[in-house]
Amino acid sequence: MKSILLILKIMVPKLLMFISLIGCFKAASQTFVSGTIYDDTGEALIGATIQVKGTTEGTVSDYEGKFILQAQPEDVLVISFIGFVTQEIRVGQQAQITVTMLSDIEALEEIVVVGYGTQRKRDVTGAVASLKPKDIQSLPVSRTDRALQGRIAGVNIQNDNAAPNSETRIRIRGSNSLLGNNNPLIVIDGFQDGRLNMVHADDIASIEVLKDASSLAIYGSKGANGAVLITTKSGTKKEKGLKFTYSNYFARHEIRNKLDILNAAQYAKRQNQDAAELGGIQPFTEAEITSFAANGGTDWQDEIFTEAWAINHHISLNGSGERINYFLSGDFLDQDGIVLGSEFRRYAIRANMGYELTEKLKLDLNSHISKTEDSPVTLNTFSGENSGSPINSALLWSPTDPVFTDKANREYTLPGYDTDVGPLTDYNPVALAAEPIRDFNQLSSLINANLSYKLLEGLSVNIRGAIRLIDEENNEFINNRPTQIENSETASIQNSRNVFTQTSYLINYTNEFGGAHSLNFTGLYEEQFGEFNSSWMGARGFISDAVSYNNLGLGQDQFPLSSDRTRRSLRSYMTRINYVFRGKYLFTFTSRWDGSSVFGENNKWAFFPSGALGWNVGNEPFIQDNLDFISLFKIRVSYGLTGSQAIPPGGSIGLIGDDFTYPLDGNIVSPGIGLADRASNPNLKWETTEQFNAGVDMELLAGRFNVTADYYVKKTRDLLFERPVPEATGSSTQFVNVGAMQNKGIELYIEGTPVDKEVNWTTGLTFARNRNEVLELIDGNEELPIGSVGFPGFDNFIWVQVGQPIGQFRGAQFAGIWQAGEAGEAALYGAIPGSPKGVDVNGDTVINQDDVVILGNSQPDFAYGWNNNIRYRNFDLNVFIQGVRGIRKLNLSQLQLLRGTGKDLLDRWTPTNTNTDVPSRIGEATYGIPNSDRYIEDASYLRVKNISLGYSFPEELLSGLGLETARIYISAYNVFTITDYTGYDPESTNSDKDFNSGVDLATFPEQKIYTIGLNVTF
Amino acid sequence: MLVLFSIPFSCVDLEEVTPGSLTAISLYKTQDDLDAASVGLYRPLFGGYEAFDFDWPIVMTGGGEDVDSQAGIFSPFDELRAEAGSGSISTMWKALYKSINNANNIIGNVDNVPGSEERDRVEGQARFVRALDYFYLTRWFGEIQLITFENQSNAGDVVQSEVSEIYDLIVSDLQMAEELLPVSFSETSVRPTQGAAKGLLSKVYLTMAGWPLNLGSQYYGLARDKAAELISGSLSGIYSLEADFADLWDGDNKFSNTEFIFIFHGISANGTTNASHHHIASRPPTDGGWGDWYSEERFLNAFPDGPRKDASFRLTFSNGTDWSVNNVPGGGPGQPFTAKYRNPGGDCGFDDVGCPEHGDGFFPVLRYADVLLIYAEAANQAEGGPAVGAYEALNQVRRRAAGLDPDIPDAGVDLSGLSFTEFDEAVLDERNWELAFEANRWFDLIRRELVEAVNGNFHVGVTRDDYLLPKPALQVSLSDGLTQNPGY
Repeated sequence: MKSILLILKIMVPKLLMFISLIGCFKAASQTFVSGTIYDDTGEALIGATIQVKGTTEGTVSDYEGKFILQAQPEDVLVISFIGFVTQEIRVGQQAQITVTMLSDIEALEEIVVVGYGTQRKRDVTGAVASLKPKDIQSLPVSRTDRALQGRIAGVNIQNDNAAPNSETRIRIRGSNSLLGNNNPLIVIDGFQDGRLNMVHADDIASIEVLKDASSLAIYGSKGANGAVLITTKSGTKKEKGLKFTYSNYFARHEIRNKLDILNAAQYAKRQNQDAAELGGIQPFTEAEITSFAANGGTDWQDEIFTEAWAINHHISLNGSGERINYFLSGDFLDQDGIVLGSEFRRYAIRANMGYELTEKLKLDLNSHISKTEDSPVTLNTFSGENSGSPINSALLWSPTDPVFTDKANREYTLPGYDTDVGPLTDYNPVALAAEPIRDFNQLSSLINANLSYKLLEGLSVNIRGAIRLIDEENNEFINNRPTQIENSETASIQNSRNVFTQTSYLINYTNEFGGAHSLNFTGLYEEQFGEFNSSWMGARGFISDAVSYNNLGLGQDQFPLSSDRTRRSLRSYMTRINYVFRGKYLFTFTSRWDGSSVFGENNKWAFFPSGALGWNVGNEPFIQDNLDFISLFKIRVSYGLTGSQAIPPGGSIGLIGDDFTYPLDGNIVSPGIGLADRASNPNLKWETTEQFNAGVDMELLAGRFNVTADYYVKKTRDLLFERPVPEATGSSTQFVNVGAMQNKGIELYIEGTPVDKEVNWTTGLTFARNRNEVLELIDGNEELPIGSVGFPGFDNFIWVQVGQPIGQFRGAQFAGIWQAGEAGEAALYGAIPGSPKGVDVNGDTVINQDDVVILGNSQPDFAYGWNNNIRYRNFDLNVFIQGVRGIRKLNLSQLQLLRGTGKDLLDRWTPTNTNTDVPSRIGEATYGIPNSDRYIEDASYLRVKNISLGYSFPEELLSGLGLETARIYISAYNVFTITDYTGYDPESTNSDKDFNSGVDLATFPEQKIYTIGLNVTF
Repeated sequence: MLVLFSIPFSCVDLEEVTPGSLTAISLYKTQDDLDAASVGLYRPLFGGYEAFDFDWPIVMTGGGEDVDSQAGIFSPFDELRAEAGSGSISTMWKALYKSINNANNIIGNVDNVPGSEERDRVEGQARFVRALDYFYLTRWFGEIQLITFENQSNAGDVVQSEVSEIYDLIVSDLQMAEELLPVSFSETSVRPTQGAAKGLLSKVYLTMAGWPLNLGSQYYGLARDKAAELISGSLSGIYSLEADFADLWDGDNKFSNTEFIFIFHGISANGTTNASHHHIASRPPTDGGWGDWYSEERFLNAFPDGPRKDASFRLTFSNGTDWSVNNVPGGGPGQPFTAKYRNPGGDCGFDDVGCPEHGDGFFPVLRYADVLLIYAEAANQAEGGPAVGAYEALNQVRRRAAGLDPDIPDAGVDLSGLSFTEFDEAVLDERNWELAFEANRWFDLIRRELVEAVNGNFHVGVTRDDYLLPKPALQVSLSDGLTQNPGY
């Protein structure tokens, strides 16, 4: 921008003289209008274009911002300048016009936040993607993480579970680590331990995603998984005085997809037929079945899923004074979950203040305080007596059972009610959802201060000091209504505190010399410290539910107390040099040294260098002269190292287990010690990711079309691995650095404004393909079983294999049902007609681990997103489509349905119903092969993530109300999905580990959301 | 504000500090440390679904007639086709070695503490538990790595030992434990005593006499003499048969009965960590349990009628149906269920249908009836025929089983006039019935080489390789010194 201004400064006066001369020779009947143009800081704006609307008449402002041109009183002047909002002014009777131009928000996009500083987009050599806040804010979600989905190529976001306060899985360019953390670094206004769900989307000024080593190596051992940099809004200097915004929405959430289950009559018939097959007692009489058919039964899904409402309010005020600017906001969210009994509330306040203490000394103080109240329903577990998963139970419970035996007294039906059908060890779904009290309260506060001092022209120092405190109090009272087992009520309180501090000393030097050289140097010293402490207490057996969790002393049995405290610290040095030659050749070199407490004794310090080259081909004369529609054409290449220090505190040293309690001397627990499961490793260190990136940025027709394409290869070595050690040592595992993994991929982003008339249509397309490959495993192993499905019968179902992506499924192959004519062959397998048939790979007439084959993996082939904004007059329409292809999932809800109440059970194999995949009752039970591909499904999907339609009220209507802008909108989220997946949602998963992410145990289902909202500024 | 900027001047320390955790350097130095370590001997073996609190040891001895299961993860044991990838095997292997290493840490560090009665008691417990661990390991897996304090630090590289070397350590540990342990601890203690060491040693000798060491009559003699110490020797009168067989299985009687010599037990108050789970796992689903395992019809039919049978089986379920009408979980034909573990005491009674998952129950490792039958078998074997003492030992168990006073001879129940072979068969049968569902029968079958005879016509492809279970596949692949058993 500076260079443009420079050029303008020289050129403009000459042009002005020329234009003025022409003007002088114009017909004398015209009226002359003169004026001055200022920018929003009060400086004269040189070189602004002033044009008479609908004519070719025009001029530009001179070095004092002054202009003069001929116009009629009824003419309208159009005043424009790059980086400022174009204004239209009716000439009227005024002879002297003063115009203050406002910076265009769009213009801010020319500057990119790159971590420890900013850079002109033109000069960036790394793979950095920016997101416009207006793209996020067009989505009616208050959560930034969900809003990012499908927006940036290479950033894959999966809504693992859709509870109101659940976490999303964010992966930038695939999974680097097998057992370590794959979450990106979240930096909020320079603070490095941010959490995305704690920033309200309306508070965001910009989001940058750093993807390649050149941009990430400055974060060293925290940089391997990519970084999301959030800059929150600050007070603008646009106007003196205040500006308020208010926005709200009301949203209705409803379950996206209910599973097909049997009704009561169907279920009763099914049970009778099963009993007939087994030769047992018929649980239901014909009369009962007739009655069920007439009166219906219980639809357990309808009982536990409700429609839920969310309300969100956000208010902000911003402005500036003489030496101060401020942005203050507050928000409130109240969201019920669609599973009975779940609710989430959040209250948050942000205060971002900027003070110019002196000409050279500036202080920025950003603070954020939030309070959340979460009442989750426990999921993803199967049994748990009074606290099991209601969703899992709902798939098993007999629809013939009523919800209550006595509704007024909240007495629920127990397992085996009336008959022996339905689950006997899972409890009433409604009781499991509605009865447990879980109040998880969190208070989070962040103070983030930055002091910057300009020592000399181009030389400045910054000190950032930040502290973040998260206090949590997780209270539970689980009464015994689900099981009605006496004294089985439990109550517990967990208190924890998580403190994180960061101090960064930054020195920055910028200079342009010799006319062709531009240099920027950044140096950093930084310290980070985290401490986590927690305590837990609990009791069992309460005479009354009245005190809930508030008086644990009333419990008959006190559980042993537990508490813990861990610390981790990081000390770092970093340097970065950016050098630009003639605006065409760009060089970036960075290096970072990290010393961390969690690294083993022998490996305390890590070094992460990177380098990048960029070539602004578009600035070369052969482009400028011949292809002037190209406004930016840049080629980038980078290479470097980043790390991941996702080692838990204490991971490198051998600990003594203090949990070896045993009731050695009677009915009381004696404390005991023994060898911990994990052995020590003094050589333990970070995972290193080596990344090569090559990319192209292109802007056509002055930015009307933009294309960014990147190719990358990432190799992560020294993978953190919890290696099994021989149990004979007394320990089971040890953290070691072995193995390697590769992620290779391409990313494409195309953005443009195909139509820019009365109808304005902007569209953006993202496409990313990542190929994950395991390169090396511990001890030269070619393959290893890893993780657990969390379901009996699925031992060793998930593997890692060299040359293959993580998350590989292995099991037997389901080959349909043994038919009556195959009885002889079936008998060889100990099976009967009606049993499931497995593929006998080695032909030894036993289906066992020797017949296990690879059944696919849970890594997507590619992901894509297509975002459209259409404006017509005062209407705006957003249509956002997003999808993933080539992903496979283990759908365990299907397995539960086949054991419980699934509609597919109507199609059981019988000697007369042979064309089916559902085995007979005896066949299923006695000769089942659980760990087969029977429940593996393609979870590819294409969904219309969002459609929203907005209407902005016309200005003339608003000015009377004292409003500046007002927009209302309606939207539908997840309204339409194409997928073959038969579980609740193709995005659902239960595990936080990436290799296990293809396992779906019927988690909190994704929802359709219908929203109406309002945005007002005044 | 100034505070914020002054944080760095504290200068973060890169040394690893774990304020909430213990490290090895500072421990095993005092008697208190050793006391805490003694508790750590037992925890790996009981609680958290990790060992004797749950199905594992029972289903891993499911090759006997007493135990059956259709559950996919358990049925291979019953059908003598166990797989090296089995979770049951790796779970028990881990528990036993964890306990061994905790014992090694005590045995290797006792000299840090001045000698005292307290110290001896801790060492005695460590030696007893280590011997018990190895006894289970070698009976299940044959040749395994013999880890002691001396080679503990490079345990992964240790080459597996011959079975005889393993028994040498077991015997020497138990002989030391006999010396170090007191006759009793407190009334409610479940720590091993001198009697436990002697009783276990007699069972070890009995086992050494048979397969695979086949040391024969000399070791039957040692077994007889060691058992005699509890019956008529130095510990005579400390242990006796519980008058009513059913009372043995009442969890509320776990400390007060006179028959238990060594048990593991649980408490429910601490959640899963220290709880027993047999009461729920062995209950039929119709009684609100999981029905993980049950018995076999052939075993029920062979079992002599009487109070002992009534207390050993659950044949009519709480909804009034007979066992044979129901289906077992997994859908097979109905089977008789055990009644032995139904009553863990506390909040869960014998007839309760909805019991909590976590119980106060126990698992009997050694009880006086076992010792009497060891004596009877060993004496008959050592002496070439049944003498008076052998008859009396066997008959005491038979009388109690019939609901009679064990000490009063009863012509209707007592056996007499049997040949060597007849008596031997009678003792083995009695052991089968008396100790049913207590992880005993399978070990009797292998040490007496009866597996083929009992199971040959019942399961397919029974061979000598089935005498041992496969070692956990992962452990074999991790340790060069560990070789998989033949046939796996």
